Amino acid sequence: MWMWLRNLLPEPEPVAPFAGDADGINWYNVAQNQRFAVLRKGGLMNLASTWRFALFGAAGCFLLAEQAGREWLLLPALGSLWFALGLYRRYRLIVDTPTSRLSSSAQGYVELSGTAALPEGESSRGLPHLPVTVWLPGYVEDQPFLLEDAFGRCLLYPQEAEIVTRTGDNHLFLLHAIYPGQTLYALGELRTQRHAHSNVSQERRERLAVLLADWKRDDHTLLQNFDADGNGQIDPDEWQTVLAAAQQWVDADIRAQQRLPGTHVMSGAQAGQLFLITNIPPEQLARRYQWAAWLHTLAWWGLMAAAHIR
Amino acid sequence: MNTGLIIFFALLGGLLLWGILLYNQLVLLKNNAEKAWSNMEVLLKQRNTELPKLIAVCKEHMAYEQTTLQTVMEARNRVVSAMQFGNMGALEAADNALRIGLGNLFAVAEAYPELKASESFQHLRERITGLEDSIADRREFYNDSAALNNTRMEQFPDLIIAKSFSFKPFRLLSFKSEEIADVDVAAQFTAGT
Repeated sequence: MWMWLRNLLPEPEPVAPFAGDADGINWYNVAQNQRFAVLRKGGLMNLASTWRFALFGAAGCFLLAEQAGREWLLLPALGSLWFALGLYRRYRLIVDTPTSRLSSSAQGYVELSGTAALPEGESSRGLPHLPVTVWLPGYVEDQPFLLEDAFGRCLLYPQEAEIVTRTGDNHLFLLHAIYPGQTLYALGELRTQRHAHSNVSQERRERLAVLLADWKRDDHTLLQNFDADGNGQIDPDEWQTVLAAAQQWVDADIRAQQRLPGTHVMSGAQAGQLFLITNIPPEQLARRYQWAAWLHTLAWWGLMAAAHIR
Repeated sequence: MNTGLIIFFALLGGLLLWGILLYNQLVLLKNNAEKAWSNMEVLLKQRNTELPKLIAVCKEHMAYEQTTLQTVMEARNRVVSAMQFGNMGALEAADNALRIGLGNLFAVAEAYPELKASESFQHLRERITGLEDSIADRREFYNDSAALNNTRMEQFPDLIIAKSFSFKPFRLLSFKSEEIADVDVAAQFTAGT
């Protein structure tokens, strides 16, 4: 719904981290980059649930009524109705979606709750001179990160997600970010990717060919292991033994792969549903949406009454 | 057009949109509960497929435990049949009987060292125990989904839409009293003495 907003807002500018303050960060640049990124990733509905939006909205309506006439208030009234319905829908989605544990990983539209972590093999992400982050609007927005609970881990792909963050964590009062170890909450379509069973015979053939080519390249080891009569070459019957050994090795490896637990992934939601990632406790976020929905409903009625009363 | 008339239609439109939103949410909750059920069904089917293999391995070693094996197989067949007919009550009872039967089977297997040492038995036992844990988790998830759906259906104003469009509540899967009772650990230690 807010994709047009993403296209409208400017992409983050390349940061110049060492051309600035004493701590090596140009905070003005960072604040500028984050302002648009937070809006782009948070979406219009989140913007409509802030006090700042309410204040600017009220001022805008006053100016509209003064300059163009009261009947024009019907337009913002329509906007308020749209926000009220959208925010109420979000509130209900958060409240009405059950939490899934990653141990059994129920597939489908679920809520996950756990802690944020960097993917394996990555130890640092974000801006230099600042604490490590897993997601930093304006800088690190599309790289996947992990959500871990006591039973497993899920890889979150944030490209299509609506990400709502708070400031003030790690004593950085202006920085919007998700830090490793922070409690994270995700609402979206969970799927588990397992080793494909459908094309096992083809995979077996391909891997067998690769393995045999690999063994053939190392003549010395091949002769050492399979030249039973010691004549310095692999005879046809000895080749059958090589083939059987390679088949056994590939089969065992495929079986081991099939036994491995699947990888849980959340990368979106079905059409029209919300894909939300946040480090704000869900109860708090739901309450915010609920209040905002009521206030927009009141604004809808109020603006319509104001348009009518002379 | 008269502003009053516009406002009247705007209020009517808003009410209509709100009704549509509530209807869509009820559909979403119904689909979530159905999906949660099919999530659990997948694991029940997997367990039903593994059980005959376990019984076949046990039969080789447990010649004098035919009754235990038969109990498990009968309960398993009842689960399959209840799933086919979509009878939740029967499924609940059969599943409880199956879990108790499996518990007995694994307990009796302790007296057969050859069976315990068998790689196939160990693999199947781990697999079935793992499936049991996942089924328990997904049953809880299904109950959450069903409870959320049922609660919304009983709340006002969702109640009006639910009644008008004949939405049906989902049956919750309950736990047997033996499963939720406190375990008497002391009794377990003194039982064999």
